[in-house]
Amino acid sequence: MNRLASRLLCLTLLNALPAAAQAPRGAAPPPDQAPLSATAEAIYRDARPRLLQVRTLLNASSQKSSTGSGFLVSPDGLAITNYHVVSQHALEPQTYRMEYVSADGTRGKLTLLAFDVINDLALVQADRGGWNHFEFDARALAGTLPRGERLFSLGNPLDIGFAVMEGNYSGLVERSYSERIHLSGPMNPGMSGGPTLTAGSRISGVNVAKAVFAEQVSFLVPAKFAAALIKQPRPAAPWTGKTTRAEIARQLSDWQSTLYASLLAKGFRSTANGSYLVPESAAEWFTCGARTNADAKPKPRARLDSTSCAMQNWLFIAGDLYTGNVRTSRSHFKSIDLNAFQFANYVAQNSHASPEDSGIKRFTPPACHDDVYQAAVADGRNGHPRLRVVWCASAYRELPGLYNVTVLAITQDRSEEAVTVSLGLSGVSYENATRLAERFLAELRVAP
Amino acid sequence: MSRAFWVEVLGRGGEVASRHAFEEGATVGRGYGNDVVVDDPYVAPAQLAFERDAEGILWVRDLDTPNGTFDAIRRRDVTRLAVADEALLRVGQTILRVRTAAFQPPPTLPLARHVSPGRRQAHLALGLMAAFIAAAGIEGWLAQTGEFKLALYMPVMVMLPLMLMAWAGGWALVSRIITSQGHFFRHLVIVLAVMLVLIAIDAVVDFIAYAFAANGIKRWLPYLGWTVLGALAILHMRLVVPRHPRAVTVAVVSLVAAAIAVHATLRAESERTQMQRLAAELMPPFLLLKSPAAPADFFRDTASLVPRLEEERKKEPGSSLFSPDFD
Repeated sequence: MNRLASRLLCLTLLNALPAAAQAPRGAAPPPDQAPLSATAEAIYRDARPRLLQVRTLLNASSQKSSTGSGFLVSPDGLAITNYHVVSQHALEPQTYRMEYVSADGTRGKLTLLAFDVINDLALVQADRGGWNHFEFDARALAGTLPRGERLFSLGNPLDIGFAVMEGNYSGLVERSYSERIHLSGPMNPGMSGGPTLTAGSRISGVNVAKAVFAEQVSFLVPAKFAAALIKQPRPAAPWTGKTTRAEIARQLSDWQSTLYASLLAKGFRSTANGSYLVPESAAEWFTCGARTNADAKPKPRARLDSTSCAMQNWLFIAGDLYTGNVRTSRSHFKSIDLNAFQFANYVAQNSHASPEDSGIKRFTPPACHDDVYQAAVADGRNGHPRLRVVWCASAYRELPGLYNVTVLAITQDRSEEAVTVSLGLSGVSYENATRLAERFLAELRVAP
Repeated sequence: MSRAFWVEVLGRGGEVASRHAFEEGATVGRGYGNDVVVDDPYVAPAQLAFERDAEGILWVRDLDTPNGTFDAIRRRDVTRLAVADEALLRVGQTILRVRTAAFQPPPTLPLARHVSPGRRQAHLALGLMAAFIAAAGIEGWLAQTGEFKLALYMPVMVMLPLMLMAWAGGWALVSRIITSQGHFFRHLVIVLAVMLVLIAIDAVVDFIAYAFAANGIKRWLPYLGWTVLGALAILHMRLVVPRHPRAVTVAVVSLVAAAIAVHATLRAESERTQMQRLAAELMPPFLLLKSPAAPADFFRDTASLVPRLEEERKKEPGSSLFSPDFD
């Protein structure tokens, strides 16, 4: 629905799957660029021995199933990469193992030590010591890098060899709930988990994603999260798939608690839509798009104006499982020459809210409840219209305590005018979904 | 009182194929020396004899035949049977009806407004057809949310009636072949009445689902549909094979039960592996009769879904029976 908004900020993660890795070399010549500066040359030479290519291999065939990058942060072989680069191994250690390839071509085993799914980071351990390693940039940790400062992204794009690419620091991504650095520079699949360095060869951030329908808009995880992950206490026992999932569920539960507390604290603002006051979140993390049928041909028999908003906030858990998103939408219907029955049909036809992310491997089939609903009338403000509310929830099979919840409400007090509002919450606790939905529905009122 | 009795050979549809009057006695058989000759290879050359005893009572006697004689009223083999006013005998594959002068025919049917029964059926069919077209048209009109297009109404208001007539025609043809009577208008009345019942059931169920926020009752609609379809089949079949109403009912009821069982199994499977859509069908709010739930009650109900979800979470995801994905 919200196509424009999603095109603008459609992100792609930067781990390369084999298909991408096998792209014919030189098939896509790089755009004309000025020759790399002497700084870049020095940085590349200096960084090369501290970089790793991180590979996930299928245990059974020893063939690689995805590749990404990583960088060393200690002489004894501690390295940082993206969680999404190592997710297959993390979730299914019996099926996938991890391996590094260093710049000089040596290979070895990698062990997963810790991960942070919220910031898409993982800490891994190489099977030997004696490495050169990177230091974090103090200004990056403090968040005081000046906008425009030149940065250098490193990694192994498309599995064709280590590369350096120049970009500029453009501050933090605005209106984003997750803290991400906006890098004005190129980024390619396979560079995920690689470092982006300052001119002094210090870590400013970790390569993570780029915008698809855009040029040179890339995203980094701020260095401070990587530094925090290194300091975090680590479990003594190696990760089994089961303990990984429990830890993911714990991280997501904590994260959504904070997110929903903030959403409730920010509250809602109401927009007048015909005879109704319709809520939208007052939080700044939503990107909205509106559409209308006012100029449709043939001339519509009922007017329909709708707005959908989404938090551009998807957390990667597995290749077929993203979570952590909040969507809201509202539609205002007004009959032009439809009678009451036809109008009711029109509203129903245009109020399809289907539960989203319905893969049966990851989610249970949804359970739904459907009823007539009215928020308390006497609270001194405008009246609450009678609503028809449908609530559907499905549980995450492997992440206990987390649900996807869809709520659709349709006003049921006028024969020729109606408002529908919907909420789509993914990766939320039942309590938080209930709390947000109740608040949201209470804000839908009859205009004075 | 007349001593006459009648031996009637019935056709396959129960109609009288030939009728013979006798007074004192008669013989029936395949041989040409009999008073009534029956062309049935399972009938003996000399099958039956009708005789009167000293008191004047009419007896029918099996002439010691290999296949015997069957009393189709009391459903048993007989060697000798007294006929008071009526007997129904099966010899071989032939049904013989014997009636004496004592037989009381059913009362005369009133001939309403000088219209023949056939024309009455035709008038009824015409009326039902008009009602059906009107109902289908109104249903289409109330659901129409785009601009008016005649073409949208053609299928239900013209094609469907034509198809129903073809349906009735098909049954009439079968009737005609089996019983020698077509009953086209009776078949048409049956199918139209059933269609109207279906439309009515659908409307009532939609109304209840909306007015009382009870979408759950729509789950039962397909089963109701199968039942109505079964009733339709029974009504048609009774015209086609009028002599075995019980067999027809048993056959159709078992078919319907089988259909419902298959339907329920497929549905249970698809509910486990596919997702359902949320959208409820809506009607004008003045038809909404249920009083609204307060938020606390509503969210207590939504909370009660959690145990179900947790139960489902522990199960292995089922594989889809038909397609792995849904749109």
